[in-house]
Amino acid sequence: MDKDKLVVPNQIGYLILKDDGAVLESGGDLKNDERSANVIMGLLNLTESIDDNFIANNSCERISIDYEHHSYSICMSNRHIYIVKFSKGQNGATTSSSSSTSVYNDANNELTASSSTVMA
Amino acid sequence: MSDDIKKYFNGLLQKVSGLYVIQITDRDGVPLLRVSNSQEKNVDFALMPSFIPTFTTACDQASKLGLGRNKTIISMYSNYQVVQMNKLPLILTFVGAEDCNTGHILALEHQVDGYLEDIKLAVTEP
Amino acid sequence: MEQQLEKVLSEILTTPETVGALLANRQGLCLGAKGNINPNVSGIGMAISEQVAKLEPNSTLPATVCLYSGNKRCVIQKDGEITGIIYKQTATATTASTSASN
Repeated sequence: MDKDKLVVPNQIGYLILKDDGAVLESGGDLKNDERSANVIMGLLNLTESIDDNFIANNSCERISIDYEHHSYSICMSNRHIYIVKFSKGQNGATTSSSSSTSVYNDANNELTASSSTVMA
Repeated sequence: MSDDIKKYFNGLLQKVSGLYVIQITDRDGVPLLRVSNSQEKNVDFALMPSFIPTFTTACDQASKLGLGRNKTIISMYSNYQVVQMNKLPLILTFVGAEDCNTGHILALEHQVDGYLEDIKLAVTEP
Repeated sequence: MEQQLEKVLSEILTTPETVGALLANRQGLCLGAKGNINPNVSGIGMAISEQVAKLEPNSTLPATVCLYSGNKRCVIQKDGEITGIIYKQTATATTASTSASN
């Protein structure tokens, strides 16, 4: 497949959806993953109108979902939805490379710190 | 136009997980619009003759507490939550599961205002 | 009573590029908000974090969601009962490409 040649480094799966949620292409971890596709369509539906004063309706161009060892990146373009799943560690290493994801880790730490203090 | 409004409210119903019914009535409980999740629980109680007038009365009483006009009443039950908004001449009622996202329902308020204007016109015109 | 909460929110606001922060409970109601953020966002933010939790229900650590729009981003993370939402805004409009973040 042509698309398989366009892999991003660390890519472990991808999904391409039509704007109505129909799966056009898929591969890797996300091969034929209709469930994830549905969850992500639900997510996009919710992100349409968060806060008009900060992010105008339907202006969100990219969403990332970050887990400890992998992450998803969702982009909207030309009435198609592109979802790529990345692995973080090199060769399945357990530690996530801190330099590459510092932005997310910052946010991560802030929130984790905040919720633990609240619980205390 | 009515189809448009119904479609919009059905979309809202899908957006909020655990929400069973959205209904718009006048202050006496006469239903003007109702969208519901058919496969979900039976929540016909929201259309019982006593349901909406009771809210109207509670709302009027709450407005006398000296805190200004009452806008919204949230009622939590063991199996349901009911969020009612005073949009006179309309009453907007949401019925959902007890763990439904209350904040999300409240955030819908300003989104639906535009659509309510259309319905309000239909109610006030003789 | 909510002094701890206020303190945490103030701390978050001191981090670079942060314009607003809020915390929501499991009902999607706002526990506290600081900075330039509408408390009504708690409901939708909570809904987003719940939706994302469905993506990998077996994941032990909560996911962090980030929405990008021009020079603005909205970071959402759910941890147990509490969902945190942070608004960030960079001074210059840098459209973060996927290669930059990796």
